[in-house]
Amino acid sequence: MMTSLMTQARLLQKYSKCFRDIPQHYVRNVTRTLATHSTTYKALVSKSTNIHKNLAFEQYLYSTIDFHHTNLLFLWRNDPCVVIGRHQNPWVECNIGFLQEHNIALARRHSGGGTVYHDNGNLNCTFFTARNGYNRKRNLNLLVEAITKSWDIDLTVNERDDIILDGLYKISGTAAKLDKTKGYHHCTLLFNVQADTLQEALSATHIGCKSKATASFPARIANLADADNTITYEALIASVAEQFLAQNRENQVYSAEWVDPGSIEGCKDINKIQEDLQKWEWVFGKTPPFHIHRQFRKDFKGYSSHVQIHLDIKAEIVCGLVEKIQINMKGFDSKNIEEFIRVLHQECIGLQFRKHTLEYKLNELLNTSHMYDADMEIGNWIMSCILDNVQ
Amino acid sequence: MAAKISKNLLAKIRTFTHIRAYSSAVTEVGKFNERKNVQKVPSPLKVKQRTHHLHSRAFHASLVSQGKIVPFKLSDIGEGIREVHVKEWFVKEGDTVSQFDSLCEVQSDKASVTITSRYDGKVKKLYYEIDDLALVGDPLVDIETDEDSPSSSTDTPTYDPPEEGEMTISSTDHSMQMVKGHKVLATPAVRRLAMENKIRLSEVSGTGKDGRVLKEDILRFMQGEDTPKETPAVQPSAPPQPAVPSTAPTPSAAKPPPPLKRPAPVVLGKDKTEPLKGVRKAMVKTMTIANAIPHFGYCDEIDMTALVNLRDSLRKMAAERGINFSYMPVILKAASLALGQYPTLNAHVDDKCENITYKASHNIGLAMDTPDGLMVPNIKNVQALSIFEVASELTRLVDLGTKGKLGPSDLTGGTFSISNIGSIGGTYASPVLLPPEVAIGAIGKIQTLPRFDAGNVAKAHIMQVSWSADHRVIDGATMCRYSNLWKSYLENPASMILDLK
Repeated sequence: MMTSLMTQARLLQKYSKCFRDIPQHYVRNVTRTLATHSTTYKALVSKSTNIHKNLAFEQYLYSTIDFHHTNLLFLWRNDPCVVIGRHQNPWVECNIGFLQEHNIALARRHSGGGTVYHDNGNLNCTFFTARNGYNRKRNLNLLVEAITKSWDIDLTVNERDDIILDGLYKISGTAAKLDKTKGYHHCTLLFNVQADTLQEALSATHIGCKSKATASFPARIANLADADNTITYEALIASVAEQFLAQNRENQVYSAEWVDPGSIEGCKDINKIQEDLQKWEWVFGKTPPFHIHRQFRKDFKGYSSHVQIHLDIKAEIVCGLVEKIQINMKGFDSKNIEEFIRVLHQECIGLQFRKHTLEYKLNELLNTSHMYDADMEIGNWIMSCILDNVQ
Repeated sequence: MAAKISKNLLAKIRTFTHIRAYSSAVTEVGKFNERKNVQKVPSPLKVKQRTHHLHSRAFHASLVSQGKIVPFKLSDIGEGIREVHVKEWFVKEGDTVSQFDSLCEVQSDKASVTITSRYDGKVKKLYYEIDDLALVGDPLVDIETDEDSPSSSTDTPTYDPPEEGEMTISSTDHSMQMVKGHKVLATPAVRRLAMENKIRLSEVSGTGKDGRVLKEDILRFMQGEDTPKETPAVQPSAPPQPAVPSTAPTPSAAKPPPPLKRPAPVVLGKDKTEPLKGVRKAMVKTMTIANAIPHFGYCDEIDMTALVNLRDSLRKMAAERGINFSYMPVILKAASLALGQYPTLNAHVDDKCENITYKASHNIGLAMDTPDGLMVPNIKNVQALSIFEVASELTRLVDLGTKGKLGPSDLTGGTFSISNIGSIGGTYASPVLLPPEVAIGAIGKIQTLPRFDAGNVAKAHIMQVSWSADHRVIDGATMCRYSNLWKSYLENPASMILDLK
């Protein structure tokens, strides 16, 4: 076995002819870096505020850079959006209808953890390290140190790896992704976010859902700017970057670099990842399988008298597609409606659990069902009940 | 050409695995033939397709036929985590995997970890389903390995939970000496010198570049001048600073002390934050509204000697009827009588102060300190009550207040308020209006003070009053005249008879 890194590096040089794809200067860099044998700390700030682009860039950095001797801090913020964890269920975690009405994007990230709302008052920090350098508490303590050095506020890190303001309010959420050789830990930092919009966006209206998806842990939040209104985005990134880069040795002077992910070398790869992240199959389709079970009740004026109809809807959604849907109706006998429901059971299988897809299909079924008057009214009501679940 | 590389070299090259990743274009070891099919950026949806490349491997000398079945155990994730949820499988039984292929994704708390295979071979058995709880140290999959694949690569890391403020480097097979996880740098000549003199390099503090141990350092150590080695980056006592993996600080690079370092404060008690609820929350709301109203204050002192002299006889009469006598009912009744002359003070204004409603009944509120906090119940229609009735009503309200059972009918509908802060202590105060009322008074305690009485100093019982009123609708003169009238009733109780209704 090799006894020293230097010897290894020399051998690498010698055999680099075999590794045809390594350009010679990389080999030289390897030996030089190995020789100095210390970690460099670098910081990047993203110029983009598009959540998908930033997530794609984060993924690109993670997959292309080697972190054995580099620790990278990536700072970014986004226009209003909601980001769910890798194994979460968007229908349960946020109010999808509200998001669509207000043009708030929805994204699914690669790391685990819970759902967060981002807007330009929220700073995201991603700490990229080698696998053995992964330490969430250290990163969070660095952030707390950076902030409390410049502003006199009370911040602590709790056992769930949240940063807590004044002992009560959560101002940061954490998630991480680990690999064999490297890992990243990213966290949010609420400094001036729209709390009302956050509240509305994250209040799920969906009831009757049962799944094994990771559930979010709701918490009371506050903004750093509430504690000290001189905390701005620029001041915050300056503080954090300075604290992080101070870990470099004295003869290595680095400052944070601003990067535009849309125009750097490798932006094609980044765009490709961004496209993948925006696909419905990723955002909604990656939801773990879940069941919906809801009941509805309504009074109808039938031909002769009042009728109360009970509707029991059960659905199983796997990979965002309707695997099975079952509707039971009680309180009104009608052959037409039974037929309609039977056809519905068949036709909805395999459809995306998506409002316009289901709406289109159900409208089609209603129009071809030859139902009239009372039956049609009930049919419309059934459709609205089903669509109520999708939002 | 690639196939001719000998097995020995292959084994040696495998040790470079942690260096090779510098170029994203380098394929993994074992995939020389597939250089052209390099996957530069693993996209989230394509992981499953990676196993397709592997049929054309002509790399191994022997075909995979009957290999050994090795249980691949879930290695330690770190941070003391003992169990994880299996969230996604990237392989199924029967798939062929090579070393470093992703097997599955597990989630531990907030970290999503991709587990990669340690062996080349065929997946024989998956031990868990999606969402099952996998335990660290238990087998995750069974892999049927090839005969000549390495059973474990040299860089199998042992992930010790990182100590606070310190970075641990994965254990490799280097026989180099470590100083708190950092290798000691020294040239071979220096090493030989150290070895000859039976000195451990880790005990010598290096003064060369990057903390390198130089010959002079060894010589100095031998002469016993060396100071005990400083531990470079570990400061567990201070709030954890990020670990700087530099070696022992060189004397020349003395860092200036950080400018804003505060000594750790000695905390005796502990801060406690709690949300404001109930009465206190209501108070916040009311006072915030009241703050928008421009108050003015008017203070005076009242000579209560006459009333004090009457007290004994009045007390006897009240006791006969079963009521405790106090000055408060008299004060309240006097206030009501005076309000009859100045109806502007018994009014409500709306929030924008556009309309003023002169209230017919004098519902005089009395500020009370109850166990729940400050409450202002009011006595309805004081203008129609006798002092006696006021007294009984007052007793009822005080009883309810101490029990915390004041109802909404008692607490709403007030038109004028008085606060008897003097019952606890104090003289002058600056009361805050209770919207939508327009006036409020605070009375201090009755003190025995010297005053002049026709040229001679005499003992007088003095009580102070502090009025506040809404200056948008009440002017100083009105308040002053009202106060004078009320004062005259109290200083000369008999005059109340004249205005009795």
